[in-house]
Amino acid sequence: MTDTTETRFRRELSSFFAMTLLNVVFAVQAIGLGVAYIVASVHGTSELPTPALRVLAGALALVSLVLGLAWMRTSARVLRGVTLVRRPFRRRRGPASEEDVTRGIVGLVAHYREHRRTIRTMIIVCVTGGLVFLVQGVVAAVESASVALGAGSVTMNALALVPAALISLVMGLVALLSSYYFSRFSQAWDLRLEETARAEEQLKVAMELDAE
Amino acid sequence: MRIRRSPYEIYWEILVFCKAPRSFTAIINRCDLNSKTGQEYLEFLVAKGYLAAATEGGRTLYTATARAGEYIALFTQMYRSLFDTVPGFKL
Repeated sequence: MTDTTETRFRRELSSFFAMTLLNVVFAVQAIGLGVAYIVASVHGTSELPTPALRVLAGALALVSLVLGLAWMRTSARVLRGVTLVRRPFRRRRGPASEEDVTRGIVGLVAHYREHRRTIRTMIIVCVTGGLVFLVQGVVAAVESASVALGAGSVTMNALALVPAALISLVMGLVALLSSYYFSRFSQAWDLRLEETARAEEQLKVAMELDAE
Repeated sequence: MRIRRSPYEIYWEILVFCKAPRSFTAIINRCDLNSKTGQEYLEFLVAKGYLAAATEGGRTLYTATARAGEYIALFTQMYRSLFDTVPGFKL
């Protein structure tokens, strides 16, 4: 398939959509994980050896819940706009008209212009969230190791903590990966916004010349 | 959801839609404008000679002129080039 403006636009639109959707899915999981850790802290079911570690786990759970909520809110807002731009192209099999592609490009430019700050916030939220989840994963791993070592053998209780540690670590990595992709997306689109500003100057000049 | 477009993007939307004669209501509905700003945009485009207004059966219909064709072509070329000149983003 030849690499036309349309194929490049559609590929980019799909990548942006997938990335934002993935963010919403993981934000929901982050909220769930945060709630689960808070419930464990409140009920005192956490097996952490020292009170300091228990307080740290509780604080991290609260932070991850708040970050999860912020993460989901911003992702959902961005996703809504991308879905609107993507709708006319979603089920289309053949090539779109030049007008439709330009309309899609205008839609995506306008969407990015409007959500530029939101996407920047998302990058920060993803980095912070990723680090919090990584620390949470490490704390859960320490918890599982300390239970196993304390008992002198690997117990069921310790094994039960392994998935929690793994989930937190995966969530952390996904969040950091998301921030990386959003940064790359943001870099490309910042350049495009600069280009549109230049294009508008040219259009302004052309319109003024036309009026003469 | 209303997306914030620049005036030039709105001009383009109006002009493309008005390749066939259109009423004021059809234009503001299609281009997602309120009647006040819609009126301002149409007045501007008529004054610039990009739109021709004609009254038919008691209602005004707007049609893009040949000059509008030049604007549409320039705009299309510039916006499509955003995906040709800037390195793209891919997952």
